[in-house]
Amino acid sequence: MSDGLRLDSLLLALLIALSAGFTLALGSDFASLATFQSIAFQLPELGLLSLAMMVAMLSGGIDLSIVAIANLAALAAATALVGFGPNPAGLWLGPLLGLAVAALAGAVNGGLVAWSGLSPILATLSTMTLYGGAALGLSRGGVVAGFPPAILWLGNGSVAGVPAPLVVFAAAALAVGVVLSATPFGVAVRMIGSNERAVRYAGVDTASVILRVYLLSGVLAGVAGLVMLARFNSAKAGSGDSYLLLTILAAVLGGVDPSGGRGRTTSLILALLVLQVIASGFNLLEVSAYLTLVTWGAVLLAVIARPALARAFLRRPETST
Amino acid sequence: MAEARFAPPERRHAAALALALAALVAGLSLASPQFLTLRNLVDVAQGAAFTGILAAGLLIVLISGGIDISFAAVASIAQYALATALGRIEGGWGLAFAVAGGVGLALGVVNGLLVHALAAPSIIVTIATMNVYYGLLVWFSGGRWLYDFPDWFAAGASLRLGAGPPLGLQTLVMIAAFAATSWLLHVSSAGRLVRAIGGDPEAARRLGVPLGRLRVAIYGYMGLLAGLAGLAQCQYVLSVAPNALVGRELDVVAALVIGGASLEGGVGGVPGALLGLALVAATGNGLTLVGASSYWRQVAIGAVVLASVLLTAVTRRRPPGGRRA
Amino acid sequence: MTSRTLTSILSAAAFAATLAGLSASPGAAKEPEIVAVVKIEGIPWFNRFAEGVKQAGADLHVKATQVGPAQADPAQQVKIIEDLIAKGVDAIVVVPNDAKVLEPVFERARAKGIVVVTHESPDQKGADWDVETIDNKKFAEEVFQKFADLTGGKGEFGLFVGGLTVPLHNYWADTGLAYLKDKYPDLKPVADRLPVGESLDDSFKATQDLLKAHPNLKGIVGFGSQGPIAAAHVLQQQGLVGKVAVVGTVLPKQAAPYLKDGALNAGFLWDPKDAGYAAVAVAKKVLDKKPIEPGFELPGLGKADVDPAKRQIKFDQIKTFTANNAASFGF
Repeated sequence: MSDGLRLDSLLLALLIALSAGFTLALGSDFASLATFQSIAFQLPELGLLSLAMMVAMLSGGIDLSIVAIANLAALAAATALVGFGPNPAGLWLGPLLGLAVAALAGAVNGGLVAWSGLSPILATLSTMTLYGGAALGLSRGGVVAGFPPAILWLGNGSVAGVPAPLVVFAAAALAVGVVLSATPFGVAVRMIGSNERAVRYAGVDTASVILRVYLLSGVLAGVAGLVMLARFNSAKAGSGDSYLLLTILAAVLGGVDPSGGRGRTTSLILALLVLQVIASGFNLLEVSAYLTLVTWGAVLLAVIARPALARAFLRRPETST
Repeated sequence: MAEARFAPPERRHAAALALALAALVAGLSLASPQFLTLRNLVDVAQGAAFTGILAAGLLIVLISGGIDISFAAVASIAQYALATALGRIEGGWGLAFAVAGGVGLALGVVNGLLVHALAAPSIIVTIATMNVYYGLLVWFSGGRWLYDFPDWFAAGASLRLGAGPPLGLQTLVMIAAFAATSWLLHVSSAGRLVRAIGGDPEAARRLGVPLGRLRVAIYGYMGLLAGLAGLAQCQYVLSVAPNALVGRELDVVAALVIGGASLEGGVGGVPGALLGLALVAATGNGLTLVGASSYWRQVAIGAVVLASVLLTAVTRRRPPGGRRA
Repeated sequence: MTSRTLTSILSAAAFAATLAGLSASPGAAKEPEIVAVVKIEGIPWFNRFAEGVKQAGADLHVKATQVGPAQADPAQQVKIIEDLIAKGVDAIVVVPNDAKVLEPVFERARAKGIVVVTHESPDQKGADWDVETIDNKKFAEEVFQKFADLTGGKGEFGLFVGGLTVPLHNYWADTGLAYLKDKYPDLKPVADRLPVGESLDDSFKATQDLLKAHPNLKGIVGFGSQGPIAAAHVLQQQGLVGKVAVVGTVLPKQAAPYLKDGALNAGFLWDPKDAGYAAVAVAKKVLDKKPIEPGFELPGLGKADVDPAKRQIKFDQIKTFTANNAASFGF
């Protein structure tokens, strides 16, 4: 069994154990359709942002500007939506404008990383400040709100009981999964993450791959921004700032190697579910949110301790399954 | 290893950054007559000291090829322990430094042990310990703020050089921290080992570098300085709020990466770190002095940072497509 | 393969537990459950708020508890409320980080029959009632009137808010500046409001920088818990106590030494314990289907000013902290 699959079964076991524990403690308060719906509504924003982070991390980089891009895109879309008023064209053009802004922001990141020689952390740290600052400056810290009901449905409606944001997230996750595992671009991203120089010597245009990595990361952040806009019925600079470190937490818990190359969408989703079930369970138990942080940290330590523990207790690493 | 001490890329980077800083300082002193006064520079140093002390510690971690995300949480715990101890035990500065430094050192050593024992990337380990440390701090303290300090602590300590304004405790600790880091990196034999494991840990291990002990020492030193940064910050504002420091991690990372340190390890130095720190601090201070719009302040800071790092990147002429800094 | 075995054992356990959980249906009628969701957990302000929530729970025989996120981010509050909707609590009392963001989730809560009461959020949409323990316009005008008295109504001053996106602080700033323009046109801010008021470090630096850039600075008005404290501290260090006026929002216990020294001239706020109590009491009234009649009274809060059209309930409980009374508030 490959390492990734082993991580998946560990996360799955953890998820089941947690659900069982919370069910024992909370009874029908936890094990209910309503709780699953609540989790399904909460997962997508952080999930989309974590996908954006994962794509950058797979290439051996990082994208610290994703939350800033999400807010900037949401503000652009919101301004257009309000501007169009009842005109139905706004329903398409508003979100499109948001995505275009996100794509542009992502492309700027990609350009900086690919051609200026700036390290990804430095490039996206600078643009995080720039994009976040632009969102704040353009909106003067205010809220843009008042959208047509169709937009709100995207954040708060359901399709046959499945929350609409979850549908968006599932589609994005599927698309990213396919792109990363089944296209030459995906292969190139992973290879750049493992050994960039070798890839360049092999004749791959690494600059163009890196540009597209950050473009994709930006667009995913933009989608997250639109989902947030719809869920919150408003757009504002600084919303969701607390998600940035969480996306890195989710990614590394999901087995994404911070130095690049390795990482799978399924593991990421399982990791997000683990984090969310802990948070929701603790909320329902009225346990302090700070103990949620402690538990997240402990779970992360436990998951990464697994190979070390295996080495300590077994003579040789498991070779087959 | 000797050439690592004055590796040309680092010197070129520092020179380019010095140029950027000089341009910024020139511009700001034209725009505001108060900017280039001794009084202001002393205040800026004082205000940047918390970030600076942490940067002195994180620099070594970065050069060793690691990173620490938990230092703000460590500093918070150290200052909480310090403020609690000062209210209960009689003792002067010796006790204060021992408590803050000791708590920081202990938590840093835990980080080092975990990084080594788990053989996991340090960013993962320290994100985990940050959550654990910070969560436990707020949970146990109930989020209470502490602002009762003995008079001698509130009075602080300062050093007057000549006729200028006195340098406060924070600045003095920062100077000591950078002096210690400089010595470790550039004089002691430890510096060469740190650079060696930052460059290629596997090769370093084969050459007989004691990875485990070295990592514990590196993260322990980071923790020690985080504890002292906590002390300095708490003496500066005379209050301890468990949630005041967490969230400022990126400021420290920013100062260092602007200063030429790389997350890939192996490169970086004290001159670059000081310049990076000065650039960020001067920008923030200058914008308030010239009365820049606070709504566009963040954009201005981002633009200054981006312009400076682009300047240094151009001088280094890296091959295209590089993910390595 | 060990982890697979583990997985199957755990699945079986989970299945059994789920069945057990589903069959354990809630027993007889219990006390209604009211949960307060505050901006952020683990800070003194909301610890004090929790005291009021608890007190109201005991007085009114409801199960009243308080939760909050670890970061003051509106997105995190939405998540908590979603979980509470799933749990099916009877009422929520919310101190929003952002009024707009919460509208959709409030609507979902009310669709499930959950009573929603807000605090610190005048003009909140989607809630049953908003409870305020102060009149925000009056509050802003009182702060700036005091400041005008101290400065003689002339000169330049600095203005701090907790953040440029914090609605209440910016409302006070806007209202206060308009009031000055009208009544004291010679008292003017030197620059944009600075978003430093929740951080001691940042407020320190901002005060030092303002004093340098504007040697004639007459004073500082600070909103956010730390701005006035930091400004007063800088005045002490630079020997400017009495020459530069400082007023604003402070926690009385923390401000007491600065008020005594005169570095801080006056502090204004309300007692979050009152607010927590009032919000839970209003939620209970709605749950009991009792009318919210104009002028109803709550212990310690006096008479309510009820505006049924705006769904707003206001008490007049502005607290002014001075050197003499600051130590007596208990928070």
